[in-house]
Amino acid sequence: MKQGSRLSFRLGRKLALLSLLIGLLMLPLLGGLALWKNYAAQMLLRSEQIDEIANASLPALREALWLGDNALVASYLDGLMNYTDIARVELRWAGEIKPSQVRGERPSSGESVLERRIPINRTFKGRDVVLGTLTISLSLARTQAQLRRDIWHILLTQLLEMGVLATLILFAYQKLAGQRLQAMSTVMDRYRAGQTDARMASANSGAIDVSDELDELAAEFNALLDSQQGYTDELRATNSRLSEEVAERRKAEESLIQTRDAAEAANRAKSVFLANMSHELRTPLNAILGFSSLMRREPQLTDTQVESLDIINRSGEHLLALINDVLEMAKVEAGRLQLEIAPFDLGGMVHDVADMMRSRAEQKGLYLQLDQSSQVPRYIFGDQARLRQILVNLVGNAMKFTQTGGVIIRLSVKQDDRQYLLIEVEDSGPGIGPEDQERIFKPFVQLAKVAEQKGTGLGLTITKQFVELMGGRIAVESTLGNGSLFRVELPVELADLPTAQPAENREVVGLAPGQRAYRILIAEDQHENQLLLSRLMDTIGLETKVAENGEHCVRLFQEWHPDLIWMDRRMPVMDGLEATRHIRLLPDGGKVKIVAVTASAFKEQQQEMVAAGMNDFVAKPYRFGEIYDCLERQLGLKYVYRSAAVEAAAVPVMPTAVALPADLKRELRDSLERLDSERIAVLLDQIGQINGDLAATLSHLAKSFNYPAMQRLLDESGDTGQ
Amino acid sequence: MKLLSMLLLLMLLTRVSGAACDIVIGSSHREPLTNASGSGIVDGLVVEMFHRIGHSACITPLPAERSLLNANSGITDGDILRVREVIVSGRYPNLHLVPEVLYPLPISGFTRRNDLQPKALADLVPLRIGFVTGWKILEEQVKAVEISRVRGVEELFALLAEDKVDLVIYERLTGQHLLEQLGIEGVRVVDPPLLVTPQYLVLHRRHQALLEPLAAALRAMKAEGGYERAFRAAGVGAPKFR
Repeated sequence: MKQGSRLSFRLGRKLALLSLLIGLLMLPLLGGLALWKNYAAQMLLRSEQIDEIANASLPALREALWLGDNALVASYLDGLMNYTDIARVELRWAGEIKPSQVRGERPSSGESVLERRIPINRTFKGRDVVLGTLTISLSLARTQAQLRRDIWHILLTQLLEMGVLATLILFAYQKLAGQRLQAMSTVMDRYRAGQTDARMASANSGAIDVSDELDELAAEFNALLDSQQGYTDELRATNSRLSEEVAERRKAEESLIQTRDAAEAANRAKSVFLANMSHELRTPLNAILGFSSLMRREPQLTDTQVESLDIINRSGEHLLALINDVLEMAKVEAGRLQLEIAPFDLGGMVHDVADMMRSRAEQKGLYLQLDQSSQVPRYIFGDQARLRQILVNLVGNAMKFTQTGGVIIRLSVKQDDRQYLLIEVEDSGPGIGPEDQERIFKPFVQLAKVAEQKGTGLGLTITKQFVELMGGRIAVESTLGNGSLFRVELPVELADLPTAQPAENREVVGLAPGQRAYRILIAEDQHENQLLLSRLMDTIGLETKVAENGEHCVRLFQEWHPDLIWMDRRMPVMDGLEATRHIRLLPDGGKVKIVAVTASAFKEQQQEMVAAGMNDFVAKPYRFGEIYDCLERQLGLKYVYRSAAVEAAAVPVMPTAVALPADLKRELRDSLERLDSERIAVLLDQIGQINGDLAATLSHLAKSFNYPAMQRLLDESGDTGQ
Repeated sequence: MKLLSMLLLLMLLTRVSGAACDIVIGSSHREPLTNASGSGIVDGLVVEMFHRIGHSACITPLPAERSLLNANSGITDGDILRVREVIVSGRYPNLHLVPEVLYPLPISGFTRRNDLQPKALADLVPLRIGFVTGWKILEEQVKAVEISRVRGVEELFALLAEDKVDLVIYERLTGQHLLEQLGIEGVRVVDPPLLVTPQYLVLHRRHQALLEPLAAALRAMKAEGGYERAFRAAGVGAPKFR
C-alpha cells in the first residue's frame, strides 16, 4: 500500500477511533441516562401497579371499615397478599379503635420496597370521615433483577451502536474524503517519480467542479503543482551549477590537504633533520672544544697560539649555544622537550639574573627593580636552567625595547587549589598593539625593525613552550605607549632542603696519591673523540684501551677486564646499547661501570641507555670537568686540581680588573649583560694582551658561562664603568 | 315574654322542618324499631327525649359496629339500643350510657316446626341452631348439636326456609317484621322470648351533661304512658319491664 493510502486509512481509523473513544467516554453518561429512564419507567409501573391494586380493593375495604368488621378487613388483606410483588399490607383503624391488621413481613434493611399509604375515607352526613389507612408495600426485588439484566442489555446495545457508528464514520470518511486524499497522494507520488504532468482530475477529466472543501483543496493542489514545476526547473539548473562548484571546491580542498600534509611532512623532516644535525654538529664540536682546551693547557704555547686557541674555543662555545637554541625549538616542535626537575635555589637564581641584568639596565639609563614577596619560597623543585632562561628572555626582551624608565621583576605566590609562583616582568617601553600581542609568541616573529633585529626570534616562543611544559600560563597585558606586562604563572612544589651547590669548575691535573691505576676502555668509532678521551684519561694517569666498535668493545672487555667503559652510542658493526647488553650477560659483566658518551640531545634516548644497563651518561660536547666528575661518581676517584694549586700560590696576587682601561671594562660589562659571547671573546682577547692572568681567569669563567662571576670580578675592580 | 314566645316559635319551626338536628344518633336496628327516616318506634322515643331537654335529634341508620365507632369517635353524638356490656367492656371509652333502659329487647326463636317449644337456651341443645355472627351473647351461651353462623338476617331466614336448621334466633320485632316483608310463611315465633336484653341509649362523652336529664325524660315518658303508646301505635305489644 502506498504511503498516501496508508495516510488516508490512518486518518479514517483515527476518526473512527476518536468517535469510538468519545462514545466510550459518553457510555457511562448515556448508559446511566438510559438506565435511569428504565428505572423511572419501572418505578412508574410499580406505582401504577400499587394504585391499581389499591383502587381494586379500596371499595370493599372501605365497606368493611364502615361496617367495622375486622374479620372482613383481614380477609381482604389476605386477598391483597395474593397480588404479585406485594410484600406487606397493613391496615390501621382511624383512632386505633381496633387492632391494626398486618400481612407480610416488614422489609429487611437491604430490601427495596415501594410503599404507598392510602387513607380510606367515606362521606358521612356531608363530611369526610377517615376510616383507616391502608399501607401497601410492593417488593422491588423483581424490578431490581430486571434492572440488573437491563444494565448489560443497555451497555451491549450502546457498544454495538458505537461500533456501528464508528464503522459508518469510517465508511463515510473513506467515501467522502479518503479516496480523494488517496488520489491526491497518488498524484504526488507520480509527480515525485518524475511524472510532472500528474494532476488531480474531476470525474469528467476537465477542470475540477468545486463542490466542497476537498475539491477546493484539489484545485489548489493542482495550482501548487503547476507553480512547483516552475520552481523545480529553476532548482535543477541551480543544483547543477552548485554541484559543479562543489566539485571544484572539493578538488581545491584535496589539493590544500595534500599541501598541508606535505608541509607537515616537511616540518617533521625538518625536526628529524635538526635532531640529526645536532648530533652531527656536536660530534665535531666536541673535538674542536676538547682539543682547543687541551692545547690551551700546553705550557710551551706562545701568546698568539693561546689567543688563537681561545678564539677557536669561544667560537665553538657560541656555536654550541646557537645549536642548543635551535635544538630546543626543534624539540618543542617535535614534542620531545622534557623538563629536568631538581631542587634548586629559586631566590639565588632570580638574584643572579637580576644582578646580571641590572648593570646592563643602568648602562642604558634604565632602572631594574626586583620586587619579591616574602612568601616566595627559596627552594623549589623545577627545571632551573629553563626557568632561568624564561626569566632572562623576558627581562632581556623588556630591556631591548625600553628606552626610558625601566623594568620591574615581581615575584609572588598565589594559593589556589595549589601553590603558584607568579613572575611579572613589567616595562615602561612602547607597548605592544593588540594584534601583535597574539603574534609575539609565534616562532620567528620579531617586532623590531628588520635592521634592528637580533637573535633567532625564538625567545618568546621557547619561553611560552617552557611555561606550558611546566604546567603554567603566560599572558601579556599592554597598551601602545604604556609599557607591557608579561605575567607567568607556574605551579610550584616546595623543596625542603637546599641542595649542595655545584663546585666551581676546577681544572683536574692528576689523581690524588694512593689510588690504584684504573683501567678505562674507550668504545668510540670517531678517531678525534677516541683521542680526546684518551688524552683526558692519560692526563690523570689512568690506563686506557680503545675499541673501534661494539663488538671490539665486548672482546676487549673479556680480554682486559676494564673498570669503566666510555661507550659511544652510535658505532658501526655493533652499537653501544647492544654491546652493553652483551657485556652485562658475560661473567663479571655486571661489575664494570659503563658510561654512555653521546651526542644525542634527547632525554628518552638517555633512558633507553639506562634500560640497556648503562650506569651513567655524559652528553657531547662535554666539558672536561663532566668527564672527571663522572669518574669520581662511578669509581670514587680523588683528584689534584690546578685551581687549588694556583689559589694556594696566587692568593695574594688574585687577578684584578683594576688595571684595565675603563672603556674596555664597560664594553665587557655591556657584552656580559647582552650575553654577547662573541663580543666577550673578542674583549677577552684584548684583555689578554694587557693582563694574561686576568684574561685566563675570565676566559675560564666565560667557558662555563659564569657571567655573574665575571661581573663580580669587574665590580671588585671598583670601577663601575660609569 | 314576647321574646320567649318568639324563641319557642323558632324552635318549633326548626323541629318541624327537620332540616337541622343538633344531635345525630346512629342506629343499626331495623324496622319497626328504627328506620332510615328516623321514624321507627325507638327513633320517636329518642327524638322525644331530646326534645324534652331542649335538643333536636335525628336518627341515622348505620351498620352496627360503625354506629358504635362513629359515636365513639364523635362523628355522631350517640347510638341507640346498646347493651350495658358495650360500655363496661371499655372498648369504646368515649361512650356513656343514659342510665334508664330504653328498650328491653326480646330475642326469640323462629321455627317452622310446631313441635318445638323451647323455654330457655338450655332447651336448644338437641337442635340445629342458626344465628347472625357477631351476637356475642349467643356465641357464648348457645349450645346445640349444630350451629350455623351467617352474615345477615336474610341468610338466616333462608337457612330456615331451606330447612337447614331447626330454629334460628333473632330479635323478635325485627324478625317478625322481616318475615312479613320477605313473605316467608310457615314460620312462627316461639314465645316467650329466649332472652330479653335491656338496651340503652349511649352518648359521646361531650354530652355527659345530658345523660341524667335524658334518663329523667325517659322515666317521665314511661310514667306518663307516652312510651307505651308509642309501641301500641306501631301495632306491637308494649315491652314489659321486669
